[in-house]
Amino acid sequence: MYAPIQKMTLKSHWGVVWGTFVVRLKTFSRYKGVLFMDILTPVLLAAMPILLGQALSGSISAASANFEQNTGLTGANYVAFIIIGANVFSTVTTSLWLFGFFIRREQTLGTLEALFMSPAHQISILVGLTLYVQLRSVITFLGGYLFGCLLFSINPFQGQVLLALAILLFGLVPIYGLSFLLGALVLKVKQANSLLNTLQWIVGAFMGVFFPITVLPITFQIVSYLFPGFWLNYNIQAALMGLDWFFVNMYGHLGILFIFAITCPLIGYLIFSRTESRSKRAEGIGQF
Amino acid sequence: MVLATAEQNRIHGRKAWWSQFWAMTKKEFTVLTRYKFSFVLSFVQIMVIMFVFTVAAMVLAPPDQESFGVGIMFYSFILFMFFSTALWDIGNSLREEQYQGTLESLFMSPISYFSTLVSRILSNVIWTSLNVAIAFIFMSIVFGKLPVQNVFLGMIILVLSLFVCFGFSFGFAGLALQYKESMNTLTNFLQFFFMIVCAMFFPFSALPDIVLIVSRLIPLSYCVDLFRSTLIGIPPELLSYELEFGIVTFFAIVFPLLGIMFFRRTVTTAKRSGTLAEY
Repeated sequence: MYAPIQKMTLKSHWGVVWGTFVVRLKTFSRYKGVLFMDILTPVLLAAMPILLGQALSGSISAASANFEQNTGLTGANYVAFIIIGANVFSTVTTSLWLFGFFIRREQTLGTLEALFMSPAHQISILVGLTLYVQLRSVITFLGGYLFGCLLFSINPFQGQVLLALAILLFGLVPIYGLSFLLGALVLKVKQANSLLNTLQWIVGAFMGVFFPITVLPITFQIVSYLFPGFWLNYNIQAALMGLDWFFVNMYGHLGILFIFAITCPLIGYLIFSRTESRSKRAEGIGQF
Repeated sequence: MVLATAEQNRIHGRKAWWSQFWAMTKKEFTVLTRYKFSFVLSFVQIMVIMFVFTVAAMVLAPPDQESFGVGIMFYSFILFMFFSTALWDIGNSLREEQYQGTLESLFMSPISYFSTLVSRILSNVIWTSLNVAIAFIFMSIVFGKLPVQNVFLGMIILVLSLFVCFGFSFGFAGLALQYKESMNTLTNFLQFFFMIVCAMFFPFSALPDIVLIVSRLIPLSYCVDLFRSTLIGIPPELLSYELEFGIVTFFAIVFPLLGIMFFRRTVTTAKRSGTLAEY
């Protein structure tokens, strides 16, 4: 009934990974404006609360004082806090969008079924896609962060920059796991646009993008602690801005990210492949 | 030849116009109600966005400015929602017809272009208005009372502003048919551009002088300024109240006319070159 699963060698797996990566990259390179928007979006997103704070308080320093007083983050520069938050938020949502939209796009183009019925293993396709998302996310983060810092006169090289970069690379792994979950949801409910649009803001609310989550009610804080996006964002803010490593120490924080990096992709992949198999057996995955 | 005949045979008369308008509106509503999940999620999305930005405003504002800050942000956000709908939905809905292969047959039939566009607007305006109502209730429950003054005048300004937004969207829909896939990036950019330059989410006083010059050249800035200052009960920031009202009224008349003219021209050009169905 299904295409026979050939015994694939490591080389052929890598061939699928590389093929998927190159196809995505080529498509991306055809739309040059997209990269520009990827970099610009987090800066414009950050500009809104920064300008609002400045207008309401009279100046950036007055807004900083209010921020310190209302959040308890002594000495934290609110502009830097928001720029980092907006960039991590943008990187996380880009990852979620790209994967969810990959599924939907292939479905509407009529190529998803053919892709998943081919003898190429899903993992190889997902790894290829993840590589592409990783590259695009890092470029977006670096571009957006540097541009934002330049625009709002913040030193981009303050704090532990290399540590922050390592956290970004490593901390995106659990996000990819979540994006597999999202892929399963898109397969199931199909209305990808509204689903992704809503989810990205829910993610933003729990990540502490424009304010630390400690200003939220305790139930919200608990949800945040269970969400890897929060730890990714907070750890990068802590590395660059010198915020407190409140969970034991820096290694405690990295340990939590590590646990998420193991569990999220596993759970995400299991649920995705189960949903996909069910859909294949029922109405097929090509329907949209 | 065929094109000229189709143009000559275009259905005229009020009854015919209403009949096609009604049929198209019904079709738009049928499509809208088929996606119940999207419908529900749109309300959730608005509430989450309002929540995130309101908490951000409250964290940054001095205690005596909190209500004013939340008011500025919320009323600007109402206009932003309608503007965003105008920018994305009309062009996208036509692009969708293009993908599905029904656009060419639609525009080769002797229907009115205006009713095609207005029917798409109506369903979106009703949807967005429901979103606004839910957002208002949510904000009032979660963050307390919003500053509300001059409601009737505010509604008149909102309607005028909608004419400005949707007039702009007619022209933009024409561009979407012309530039196809590249329009997504441009729309995305323009959405953020207007969001910053027209000071949606924050007062104009936050903008640097050089950006303010650009703001003053864009009619939407006056819509935003007039609408929120009317509802909060403060004087507008850019010009005097009367002058801003005059500007908004003027563009509420001119923009739809210009927009529909541009749209008609784009469709005729696409028909002549045979690219109407190409996507």
